[in-house]
Amino acid sequence: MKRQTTRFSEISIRKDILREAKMLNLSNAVAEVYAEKTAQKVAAWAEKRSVITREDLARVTARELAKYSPDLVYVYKNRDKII
Amino acid sequence: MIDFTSLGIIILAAATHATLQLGLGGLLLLYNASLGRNIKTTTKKLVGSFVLGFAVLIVLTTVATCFIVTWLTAGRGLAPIVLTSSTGALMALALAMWFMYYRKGSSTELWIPKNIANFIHARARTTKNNIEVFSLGALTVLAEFPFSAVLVLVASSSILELDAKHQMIAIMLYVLIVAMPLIVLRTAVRNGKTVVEIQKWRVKNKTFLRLISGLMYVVLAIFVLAFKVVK
Repeated sequence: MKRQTTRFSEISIRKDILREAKMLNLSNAVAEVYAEKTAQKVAAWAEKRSVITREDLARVTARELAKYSPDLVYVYKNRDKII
Repeated sequence: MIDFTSLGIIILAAATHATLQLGLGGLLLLYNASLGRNIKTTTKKLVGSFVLGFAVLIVLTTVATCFIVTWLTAGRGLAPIVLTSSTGALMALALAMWFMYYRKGSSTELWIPKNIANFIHARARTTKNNIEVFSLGALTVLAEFPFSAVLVLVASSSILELDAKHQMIAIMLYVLIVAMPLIVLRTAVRNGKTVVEIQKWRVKNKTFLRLISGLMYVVLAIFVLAFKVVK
């Protein structure tokens, strides 16, 4: 089965982190800082690659988020593992 | 007078049904997706619709099973051979619960086919429509029917043995007990628990939940065998 492809976007990574942070009741200001710094690092990583998978992206995002919030890391590592 | 044996079987079957995890997992997914995207009122409405869809389908399946049992047996109730087969099925389901209900690994992934799980994931993540969430709640009941069908059959058979005036109350009691984990989850989130905390608890206690669930199938089977078949 052919998987859907999309262009990498730093903004969507940022939005995604902010969404998950809101779900975890993290304050907006703190979440903005986490999202900004993580999205920049992930974008720098993605820039060096021509193709990346969603799983790679989640893994690298989780790795970067580990510096800030273990709960956010848990969310990224356990996506699609609830049911 | 209330038949306490039948009432006991209904409560035990409902409690066993309540230990199934797909409804709870679906609701947790919905919270996970909705809390970050929507304002709290929208999340509250979506969650309400999910629980309603779940409860309505439990009512429908129970009532439909009561109807089918009455129709097939001409109101005489299930024959002992059917009840004996049901206890066999309950024992088999207990084994299935212990050995294949959860997938391996430190997650709460269930036995359901991956495409159904992916569908529930995708819809829970994107929907903002109350009717779709209602259907999602109903779908979680249907998807878990291989594990719940015998429970509903045994409960329905006992419901039919009660007085007519107690039957509707018994159905409501059954639904209330089955939906209780969802109500507890909703209350926990409202009281400030995060989805991550709840999911971590589920993962940590997965083995315990599996053990309890399987044991309840066994106890129900013994109960039915002792009080309905052997007497």
